[in-house]
Amino acid sequence: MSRIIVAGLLIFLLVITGLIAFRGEVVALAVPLALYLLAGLYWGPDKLQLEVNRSLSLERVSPGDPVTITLEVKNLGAPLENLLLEDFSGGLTVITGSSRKLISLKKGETLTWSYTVKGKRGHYPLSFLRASAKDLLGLVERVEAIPTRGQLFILPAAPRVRRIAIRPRMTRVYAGSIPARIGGPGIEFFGVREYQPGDPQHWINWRASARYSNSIFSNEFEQERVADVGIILDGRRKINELGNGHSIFDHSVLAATSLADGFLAAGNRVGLLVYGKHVNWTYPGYGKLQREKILQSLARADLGESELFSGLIIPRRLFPAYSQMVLVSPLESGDFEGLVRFRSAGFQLIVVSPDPVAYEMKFLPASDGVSLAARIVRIEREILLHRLQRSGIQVVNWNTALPFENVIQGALSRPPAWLRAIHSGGVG
Amino acid sequence: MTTIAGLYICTLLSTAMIAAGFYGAGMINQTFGLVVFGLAWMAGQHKWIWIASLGLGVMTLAAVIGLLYHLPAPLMIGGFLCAFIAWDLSDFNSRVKLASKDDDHGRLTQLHILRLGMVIGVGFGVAVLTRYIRVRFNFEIAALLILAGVWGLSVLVGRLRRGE
Repeated sequence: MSRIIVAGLLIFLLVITGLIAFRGEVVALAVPLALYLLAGLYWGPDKLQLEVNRSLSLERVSPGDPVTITLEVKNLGAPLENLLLEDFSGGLTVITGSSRKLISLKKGETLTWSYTVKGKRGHYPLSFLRASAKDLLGLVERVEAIPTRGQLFILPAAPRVRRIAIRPRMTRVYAGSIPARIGGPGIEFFGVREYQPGDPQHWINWRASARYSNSIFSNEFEQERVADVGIILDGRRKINELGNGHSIFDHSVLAATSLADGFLAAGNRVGLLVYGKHVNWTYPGYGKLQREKILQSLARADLGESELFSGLIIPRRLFPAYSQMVLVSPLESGDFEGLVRFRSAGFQLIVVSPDPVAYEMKFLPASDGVSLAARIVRIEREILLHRLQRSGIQVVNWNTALPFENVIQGALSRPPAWLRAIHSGGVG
Repeated sequence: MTTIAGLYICTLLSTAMIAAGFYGAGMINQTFGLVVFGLAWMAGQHKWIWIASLGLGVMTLAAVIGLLYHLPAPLMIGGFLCAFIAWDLSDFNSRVKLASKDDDHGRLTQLHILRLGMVIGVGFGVAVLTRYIRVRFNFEIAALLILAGVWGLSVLVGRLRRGE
């Protein structure tokens, strides 16, 4: 109950009882309470007129890195006797100083204070400061959220992968590092064709030319170009959240970050889809700016209630048919049909799957029942991965206890033999 | 620390003064009830913020009953004032708890105690004066005073609530 109501009720009680009983002492008890209320009315705070400036030592950091937030608060209005300032930094952990300040602030006075925070991956909009002003007796309170500028991105830290060999069936026109299955200048031998004026002499294939008296033949090399790469990060809660509040999602984010970084560094056009709470696209693009956009999107990525991949549609204007898609997902058995549909739509698909069985086993007690259950689930998973591979999908099963870059280097530094065989057979 | 000490001392004093008044009049059961409540009030002080309002209500009621039964007025008024200070300090303490360690809330505490002292001092002075000043008026004037008092208080509470 409000303190004003308590005091008011007591005053009523005392005055009425005193007057009914004709006892001045009883009425007199109401006097301090009435004065108390009057003091609250007289010294109560007016409308808050505060100007707040916020500065951050860094606006984009890695998880766990300290960031110093400095706030400068100037009182442009009437003096504030009892002002509580609370900076809303939800989710961040304060490591030194405090995000609260209880002070008196005279008219025109400025307060500057700093505190240091750290946090987990995420986007933290620091868009207001909560100010609560009271009179000294604490009867009248005015609360306002003072808007401030500032935001903090805690970006996922990811290991750098050196080379990811992909073989999409369609590449873009710009030079890159992905074999385009088109003859021209390059490094890898592609074929032999009739000599054309302008061909360098060292391209001439003398052995082939010697067989024919009237013609000279030149070697042709495979052109290397950039490709469209779409990374799909699976943020479905039901498969990322495991028992006892453990989640494998941060590992998926790490993998997506690392892959995006690798593909962009090779000059490719990369886009990102986070399939969780909403279907959240980062439109495809090149270079450092795109890297920053993808990192910010991954910092914001959160789990959601989406169901199966079968409902997911990739817009062709973003990713033409035969583009390279990379799905990062712990996977569940119901995903098979959706992924095969992707494949049949013409996309080259790589699935990087953080192993939820190995991950969850770390947190479970060792017992016969647990190991039997794990064995059953692992067999189901192996079957699913095997079926995906047989459908022409490259699968990387990542045991999260191993460094991602090592696993990806071993699995994706060169295309699998079956994919090389398909491509050398002239498909595409 | 000063606030917490003041809070407990006032709670103790309030209970002791009013209970002493009742005990002096031979009202043993009521004294026992007041002491038990006072202990519960002290014990619940750090846990339930609403107990301060309950404490003030109970002690005010006890003081009024005591005055109506002609128990010693200094004890009743003193007990009520201590309960009132405890009620105020309880709220102030909950506010100070929100401050960070490096805040200078000593100055704020000083200012608060100064203003509270001023309010209590004036209030106590008026309460003492009523012991010596006797004004007689007829029923119509008493009724008019009641109406004026109710209206004035309603306006005051209304204004304060709007300002909240």
